[in-house]
Amino acid sequence: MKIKIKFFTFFGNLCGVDKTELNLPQGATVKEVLEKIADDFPKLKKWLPQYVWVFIRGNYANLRTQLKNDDEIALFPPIAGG
Amino acid sequence: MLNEKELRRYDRQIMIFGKYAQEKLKKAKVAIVGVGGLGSPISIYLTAAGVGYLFLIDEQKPELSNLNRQILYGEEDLNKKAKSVSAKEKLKRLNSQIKIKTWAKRICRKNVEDLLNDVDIVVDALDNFETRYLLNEFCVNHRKPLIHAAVEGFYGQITTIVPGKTACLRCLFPNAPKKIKFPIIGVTAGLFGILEANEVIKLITGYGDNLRGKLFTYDLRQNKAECIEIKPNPSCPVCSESFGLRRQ
Repeated sequence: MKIKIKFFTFFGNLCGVDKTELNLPQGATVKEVLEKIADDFPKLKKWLPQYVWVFIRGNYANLRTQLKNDDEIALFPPIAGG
Repeated sequence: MLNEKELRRYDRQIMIFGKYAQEKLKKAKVAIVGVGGLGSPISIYLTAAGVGYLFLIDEQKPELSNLNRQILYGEEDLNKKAKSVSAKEKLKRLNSQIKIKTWAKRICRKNVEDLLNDVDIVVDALDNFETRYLLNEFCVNHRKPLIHAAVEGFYGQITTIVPGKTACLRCLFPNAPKKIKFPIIGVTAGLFGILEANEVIKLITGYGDNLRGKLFTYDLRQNKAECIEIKPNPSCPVCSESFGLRRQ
């Protein structure tokens, strides 16, 4: 299945791209997606999979969430400053 | 009712949204929790706009490393009075007609209800998620809008939480990042503080579109804006009950 990934805030700078696509087996989880992304974009390794906020179709997703074909995943680094 | 001086003072914004909206600003009560990088511009612009009552909450004293972004303070303020108290003095010079209350101690579970019970809107200008979650829970339980923002480096995020209608902070961010020293340039805090003040003004006056149900991010380094739709988590431990029958 095809999954679209969008990188937000400084994740985009670290990756060098704002978005990417992955082909994954049916039933792949968020954890598997993040592991694949960390392989493809080594600069994100120190963030993934723990220090990231993941949204799928507007909902926060945890590592166990299973994905569907054509899902769009938004990845945010958690920021807390004020 | 607005007096003659107020009509002149706020003339340029009354031209935008009218006298009735300006009266709503005058009657509004807004708490700004944190008067640092975000809280400085929030409080300046809400003071300038004529919000009638501001409640500033911050117990910390200004430090040297704050001065790159916390524009309410100068060298003469370092390590002297609490930020909330120092800010009040500065803001009253900008607008002597608004009421400003301060709280120069920690906000915590024991006192949050007493402190925030009579405000209309709560603005999150904090630097840690532990206290943000406390505000979130209070606002959900008491059905008060909460404006959330957070910044780091050249990046920031903002959303407007309306309990019973939108996702709450715990829906969006169930796990808090650890509190660490964070990199920040003043303009990022400035921009997002202004965006928070903007959300407050629009909520009070009813003018324009606000960020309820949306998470807006801006990258000042590359000048990129993104806005995603966000939804409540039906299993959220904080807000799922507040949706009642609306939840399917």
